[in-house]
Amino acid sequence: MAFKNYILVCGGTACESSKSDQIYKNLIEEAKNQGVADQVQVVKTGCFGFCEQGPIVKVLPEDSFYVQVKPEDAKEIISEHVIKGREITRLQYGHHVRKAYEEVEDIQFYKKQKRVVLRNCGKIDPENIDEYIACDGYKALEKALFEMSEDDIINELKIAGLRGRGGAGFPTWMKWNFTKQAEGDVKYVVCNADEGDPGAYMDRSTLEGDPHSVLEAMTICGKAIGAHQGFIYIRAEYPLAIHRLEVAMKQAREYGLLGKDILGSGFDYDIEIRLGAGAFVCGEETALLQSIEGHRGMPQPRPPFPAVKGLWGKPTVINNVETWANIPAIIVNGGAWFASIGTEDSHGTKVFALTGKICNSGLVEVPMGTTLREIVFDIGGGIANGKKFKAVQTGGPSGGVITEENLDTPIDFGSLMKIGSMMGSGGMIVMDEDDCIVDVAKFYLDFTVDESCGKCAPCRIGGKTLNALLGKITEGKASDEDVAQMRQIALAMQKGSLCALGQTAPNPVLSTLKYFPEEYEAHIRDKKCPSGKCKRLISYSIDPTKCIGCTACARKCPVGAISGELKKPHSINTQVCIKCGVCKETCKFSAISVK
Amino acid sequence: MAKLTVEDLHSIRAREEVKMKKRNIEGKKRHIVVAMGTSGIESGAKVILDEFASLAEKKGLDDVIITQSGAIEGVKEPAIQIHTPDLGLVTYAAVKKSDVEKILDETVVGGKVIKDLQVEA
Ligand SMILES: Cc1cc2nc3c(=O)[nH]c(=O)nc-3n(C[C@H](O)[C@H](O)[C@H](O)COP(=O)(O)O)c2cc1C
Ligand code: SF4
Ligand code: SF4
Ligand code: FES
Repeated sequence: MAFKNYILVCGGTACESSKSDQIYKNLIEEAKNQGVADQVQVVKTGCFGFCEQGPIVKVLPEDSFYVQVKPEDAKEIISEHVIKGREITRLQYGHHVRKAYEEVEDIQFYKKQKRVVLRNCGKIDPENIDEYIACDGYKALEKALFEMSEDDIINELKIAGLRGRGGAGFPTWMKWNFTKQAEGDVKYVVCNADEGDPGAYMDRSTLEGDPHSVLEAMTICGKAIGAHQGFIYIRAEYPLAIHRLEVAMKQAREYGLLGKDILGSGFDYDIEIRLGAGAFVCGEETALLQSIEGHRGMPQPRPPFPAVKGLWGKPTVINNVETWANIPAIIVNGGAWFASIGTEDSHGTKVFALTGKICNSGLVEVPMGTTLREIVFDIGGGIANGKKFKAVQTGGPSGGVITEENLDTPIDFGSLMKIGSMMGSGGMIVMDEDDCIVDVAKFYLDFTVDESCGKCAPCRIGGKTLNALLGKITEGKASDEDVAQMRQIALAMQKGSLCALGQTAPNPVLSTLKYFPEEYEAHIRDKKCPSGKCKRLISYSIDPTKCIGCTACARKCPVGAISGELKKPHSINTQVCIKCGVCKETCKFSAISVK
Repeated sequence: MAKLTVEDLHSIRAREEVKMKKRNIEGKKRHIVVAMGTSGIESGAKVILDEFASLAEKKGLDDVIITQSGAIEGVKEPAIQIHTPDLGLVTYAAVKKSDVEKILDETVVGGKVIKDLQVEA
């Protein structure tokens, strides 16, 4: 056995969109050209989570972590690293120089993370079932088919205390148990991979990086509840995840891990993919089932719950991608192991898509109970560009803002509820001092109004009216009565909407009102936007004592609103100005301000 | 590919685990670093590197990482460095293929420095 280097190239969507596939091909080609094809194995993996720094290339066993790699770097990786053993400092994260025997200095981004759901992402080739099998893959299925009864499986999930990761946090074992006990000879299993939260991509990355874990879990569920058919409902705009799923399903069928008489156990089970058109409401479980049946994706009244009357009226288990991905690990390692991670209220880990005004955006998986401060400041590296932290939104359009005072809250289902937000599916958007809080609330409401299916009046009409009132505030035309009316509408939506889209749509408004009352007041009473975002409430002006008349701003202004002679102070015609902010960015003498 | 039996699944896992283990570096504490670089390669470092890799595998030394590095300045090549929690850093110079087994047995496993090979780096 000769010495070998293993080069892991990230094949997640973010890295692929910055040419990681070309890097992968070039590495193979270069290894061949430089005569060392037998000394390297190039593997395309799922997302490493550190998408911000992508494309990521990891070289083992040296454990070099190369970031922002370009296709043309492949040549040097082979000639310098593989052939001469020289780590390429230029590409190494942080440009750290280290001795070969030194452990890679722990990368801050990964320090507080714990990978259960993403255990195989960035580690195995998701298109090679053998690598999944090597990492305990299909061990859980074997156990479930041959060593465990239906009730044993459900009981293991009960001991684990796994709660649904799609947003509501319902105990998974109860769902399975209701469905198992429901009357009916035909039952179904459904995976919810609709993932419509703005900014969220946890589920996509899991499917891209470890598709078999979801297939395996769904098959185990089939055994537990007595179903023989599963469906994965995934949005069509996730082509890479769909492709990886298709490859995985094909390989599983070839191995007889899907299909008739799985592993000779006598149990038959198969899975089909159903594509969604990308409507947010289709992520709601009853709407999703309607859509699979070929109807318009509109929520239905519950009860009856899907566990009793689901797909085509049959008892159905529907779980979120991340919920599924936890299950094989629970069956292999035991429920007690899972229960030992996290807090009393919420066991295990949670994956978050960390975005917004943060230094290290990316996909992070942390044990429940980790604080928001740890995620934002330790893992995320704090606020970008030295700005001040303002708030972080969890739970997407159904959640709320969390401010400085609550940053030390340990994250779990219960504690996030208590501070007026929610876990949601895992979107986490960080805001800084430049973000206007009214504008943020409006952003989410614009989204829910757009995505409302229109079936029920509180959501359809309430959402529009609420949004119009927010609009009034951002234009400086609102009064205190408008806020009172907003609260009333919010209450009506919470109480009267049919599905959680409408019920939770007012949350961003209510939570911003609660935590930033002074910012609403500034808009309403003083007709000012403190962050300088709301265009109707701001104006740009040039300070004649600072302006040296360089003409730079006047040349950049897209509408010609700036006039003045060379070397004499300029001025802005506010009638013409469209408040784009270009001049302020252009001026090197900080002569332009916004108020 | 025929449908798998449970035994087939086990044998695929056993076969693949061996392959995966090689690229897994988690928890491996003992390092053997072979200095490559242009001069190292000319002096035959590649032969030494491969010999370490194959003997370590034969001996089932699971917690050893063998890596390459650039040249180690000022010593006679082929040169290697061994780093373990107990020994700290040890540098050996002018290593021959026939030394490799002894280095593995005495230094890496046995924790004893071979004075004849040792140099200050
Ligand atoms: C408007 C709306 C959108 C939703 N979108 C998703 C989604 O994209 N993915 C998801 O798993 N659950 C989504 N849910 C939650 C599902 O209705 C359901 O609770 C979940 O799929 C159950 O799986 P779990 O128990 O594993 O969390 C959404 C709910 C609502 C009301
Ligand atoms: S609450 Fe909104 S999205 Fe839900 S059913 Fe009613 S109109 Fe449709
Ligand atoms: S804000 Fe934009 S439109 Fe207004 S003066 Fe500056 S560059 Fe011109
Ligand atoms: S897609 Fe490559 S690190 Fe996330």
